[in-house]
Amino acid sequence: MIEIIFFIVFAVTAIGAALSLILQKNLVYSALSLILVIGSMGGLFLLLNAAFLAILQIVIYAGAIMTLFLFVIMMVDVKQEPAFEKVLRSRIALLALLLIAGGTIWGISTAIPTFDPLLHDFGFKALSRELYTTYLFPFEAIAVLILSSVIGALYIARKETP
Amino acid sequence: MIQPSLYLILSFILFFIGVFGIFIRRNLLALFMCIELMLNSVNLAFVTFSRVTQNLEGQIFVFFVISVAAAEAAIGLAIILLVFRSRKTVEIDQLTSMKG
Repeated sequence: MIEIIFFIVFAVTAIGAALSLILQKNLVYSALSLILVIGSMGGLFLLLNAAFLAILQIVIYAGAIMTLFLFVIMMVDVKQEPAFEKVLRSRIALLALLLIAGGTIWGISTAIPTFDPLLHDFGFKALSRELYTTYLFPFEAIAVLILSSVIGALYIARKETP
Repeated sequence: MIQPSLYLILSFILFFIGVFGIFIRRNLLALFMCIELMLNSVNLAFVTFSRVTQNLEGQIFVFFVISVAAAEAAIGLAIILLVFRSRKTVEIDQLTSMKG
């Protein structure tokens, strides 16, 4: 019962914050809505027995990526953008998207099995064992990827000295 | 007990909100945030299927998606800064110098 209450709270928060993300005119409010979406997504991960991912979601997404976003939003001089300016185009897009979304949801919601009780260890220990044995090479490659992206970002965004 | 299809429907709704945001926003930073929203919704679907099949590989892939999203955000925001410095705007309607 309490699980259903938490699910409804997180789901409604996520959908409302996502709508606010795309409808806000001020980019800072959009970024704060995205942080709200990410936080409620972390709660949903907790409901799905993925505690490690919930922590990662909060620490990396809300902590690191969104801070970067807020800094760049403050560095870039953003004018208040008129939302829903291209009314006709956005209505056609909305219609097409709603048709696709409705069809897809109807398709998937029939044929999914239910959640069974967990049979084996599903927590930190099993996840890290998997990560450091089967997926050791991709894990190390991620380290190289992040290092090179940091160096690349520093190089791209440097001040040009005349 | 909650059905897995509810999680999947939530994930699809968030994904389509992200796609719709890409259609209606005209600002590079807002488009980037919509992409992050779509990545997040896909992560939710991954974790749901990982829980349904009781297989940890879905969670491992979400871990990789989050890491790649971090790298992508660093590079993408650097490029947006560079575009802003050379063009003085990040509205995609005004970034038309590649148009033939």
